[in-house]
Amino acid sequence: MTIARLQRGVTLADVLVHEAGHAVAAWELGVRIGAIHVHLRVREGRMTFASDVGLGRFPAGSDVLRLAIEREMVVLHAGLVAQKRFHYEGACGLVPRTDYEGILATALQVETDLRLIDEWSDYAEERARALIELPQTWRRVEALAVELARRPVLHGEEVDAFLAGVRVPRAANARLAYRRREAKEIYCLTHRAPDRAPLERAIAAASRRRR
Amino acid sequence: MAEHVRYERIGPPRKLRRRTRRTTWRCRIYHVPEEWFHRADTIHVAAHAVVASDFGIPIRRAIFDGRHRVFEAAWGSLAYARDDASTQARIALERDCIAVQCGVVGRALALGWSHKVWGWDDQSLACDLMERFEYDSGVVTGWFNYQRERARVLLCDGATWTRIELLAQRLRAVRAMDGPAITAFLADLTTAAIVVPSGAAWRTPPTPGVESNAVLVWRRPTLTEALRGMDGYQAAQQEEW
Repeated sequence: MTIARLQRGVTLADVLVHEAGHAVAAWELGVRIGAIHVHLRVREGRMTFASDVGLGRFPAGSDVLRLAIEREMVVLHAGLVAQKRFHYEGACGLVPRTDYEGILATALQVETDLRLIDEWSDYAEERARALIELPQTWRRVEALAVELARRPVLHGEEVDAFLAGVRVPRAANARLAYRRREAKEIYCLTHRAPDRAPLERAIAAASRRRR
Repeated sequence: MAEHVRYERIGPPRKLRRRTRRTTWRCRIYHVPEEWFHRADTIHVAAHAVVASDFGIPIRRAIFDGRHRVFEAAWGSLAYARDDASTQARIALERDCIAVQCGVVGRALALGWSHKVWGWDDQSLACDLMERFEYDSGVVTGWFNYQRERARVLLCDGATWTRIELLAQRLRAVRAMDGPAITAFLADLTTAAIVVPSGAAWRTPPTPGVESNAVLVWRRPTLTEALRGMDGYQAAQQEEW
């Protein structure tokens, strides 16, 4: 998965949040992370994970294989979802080709019908959004983004150890949380510039310290 | 004196709320039994039966006579506790929902067009089932659409559609079959040829008084459309499926 500065609106913080989104989703879903590489100067990042799908670990055409594919699709979508959650305007119209091509290639292992794959991808994207919007997940994304500004190359074990050590808010009753949110008609969490400022400041400070 | 205004209650009727607590699922089709729709109705019931049988969902009975079109089965997903996030629970729920959706999809494939759906039916039942597992309305909608497409792909398979057609004919002849009878019929089935759905476009007929066809509405491009470099307006210009 790579994301480059494809348009002017994408900042370094966006790239870091994008890669952190992939990594946190993989960690939450039990997908083994390979490594994260970020090139701070050119604002480009890459996150790799170990795919279980093509190894013949699951019976061909089984529902367990479908669920494994679905997990990886959620991980692949989580980058752009986190980026949109952080800075919506910067991600508007952005097409992360590497992620999308990965989704298509993964889904094509069990399905050939493109309409079905489109709907499957939409469903995986919704699952990624629901996962990223959880307060504890988002706290981990923010913490990992700052850590990536400090250490632009992190290996899987280092990411696992770091995420396990992040202090997160207590998990709320998910059913009540969704009811309340829908009652207030707040579909997405806030995207305003003042909400982004603390994380952007922390990333800027961490990358300055590194220099 | 001003007439008291009665607003429609928002949400499923009480009867439907109770349905998710039951262990069986009954699909009934209510409309004037016109001969024109007999084939589509039997396909609806037979599609439920064949897919439920393939997924290992226990079937209670299927009825198709002059007045009743009923299909009853026991839900596999209700064997799991609410909020059980295990792989098995998710698979069972998805299979139940796909079997539920196969009725409407099979009917649409048989007719070549889909009915506008009024009121509460199989599809709202699938949403009720999913709410045992997912709370986010966006995720439920996405999952629902994915299940419908899986149902379509399953039914468009020639071997499955042939079995559905044959079971539908059998059901019209004998009028009522229980679970073991359906299982035995499908197990003994030998076919010399394969039948496929007509291939007619499956689309909702336009209603000019309600839907304007003059305005091009931006639509978010799908995964494959985005990879082909299409934007929202180009995606909207694509033929509606």
